[in-house]
Amino acid sequence: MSSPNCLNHALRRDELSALEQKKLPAMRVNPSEGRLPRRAKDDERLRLAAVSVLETMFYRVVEVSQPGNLADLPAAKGCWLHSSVTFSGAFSGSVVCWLPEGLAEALTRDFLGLSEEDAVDEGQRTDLVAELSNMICGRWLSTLQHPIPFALTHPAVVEEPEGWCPSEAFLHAPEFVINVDGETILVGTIGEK
Amino acid sequence: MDNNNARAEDRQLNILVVDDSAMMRAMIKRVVEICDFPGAHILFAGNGKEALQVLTEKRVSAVFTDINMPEMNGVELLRQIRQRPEWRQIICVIISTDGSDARKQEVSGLDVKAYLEKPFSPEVMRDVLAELFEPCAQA
Repeated sequence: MSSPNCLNHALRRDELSALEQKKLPAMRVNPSEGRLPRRAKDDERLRLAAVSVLETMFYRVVEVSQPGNLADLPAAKGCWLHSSVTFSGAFSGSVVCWLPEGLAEALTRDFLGLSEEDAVDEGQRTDLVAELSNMICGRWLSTLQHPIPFALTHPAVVEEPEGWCPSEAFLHAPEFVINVDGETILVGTIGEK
Repeated sequence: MDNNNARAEDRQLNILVVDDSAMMRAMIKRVVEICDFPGAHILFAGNGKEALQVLTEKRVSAVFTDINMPEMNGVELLRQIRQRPEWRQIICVIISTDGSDARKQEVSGLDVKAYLEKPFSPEVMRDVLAELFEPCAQA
């Protein structure tokens, strides 16, 4: 099997395990408020969830950084795809992700074990982006250990218009940037209005 | 159905994968194919309601289900499976991002054989399949 997603591929598990074993304090939430708590905005667990998903299911070595100046990011291959997963429970909101379609295609190949010659269609790419954001959101909420489980909606994926600049994502509160092989994924949360 | 077909179906290991993500369904199918269990055959459903329809039409050995799905979620699907005497032998496995204690508690009485938390590597899925089905394959 030529894909990096093969069963014998070595995982960089040591660093991830070390991160996951870190004891993080429980997040305090006022259930009556029902909104994304301010502390969730810089919750390390969201970053851990995103790293865990990309490293475990896609075998990618990733680097996380603060958004910084999004206008300085390298130009993306193709358009940007935007995915949003809405959740409700002790508090409500959405987890949002942006990634270039070229990276979405590469991740689709990894996930399905496809070779470079295999075609990836738009539907597969969209499904991949949806599932990626679903896993990041679900994994993050799961680590919060609330007594009532959260409900997640099916992710909505849209293509940003041509010329869309990542700095526009800043308006929607991206909290961190994940660098994957020279390309970028933006991840953030939006509280219920 | 003639006797030969009936015997062939008896030997078939029908695994029903229930997930609203086509990507996850394809990924699980791929891992099952790599494991190469004799007689393994994958069926699909996009939510709990569709899964119940498949269960009424096909003889299913195992159900691998997500939890958060439209129409009918995985917890309700498992409840309905456990209520039907003819489906009580079905091996049920959960594959979900929601690995919270609260969710695990919610399904604790539903005889779930394994709880696979996403993200997981294909190796983990392979190990679960081997543990569940190797005794069947050897029989």
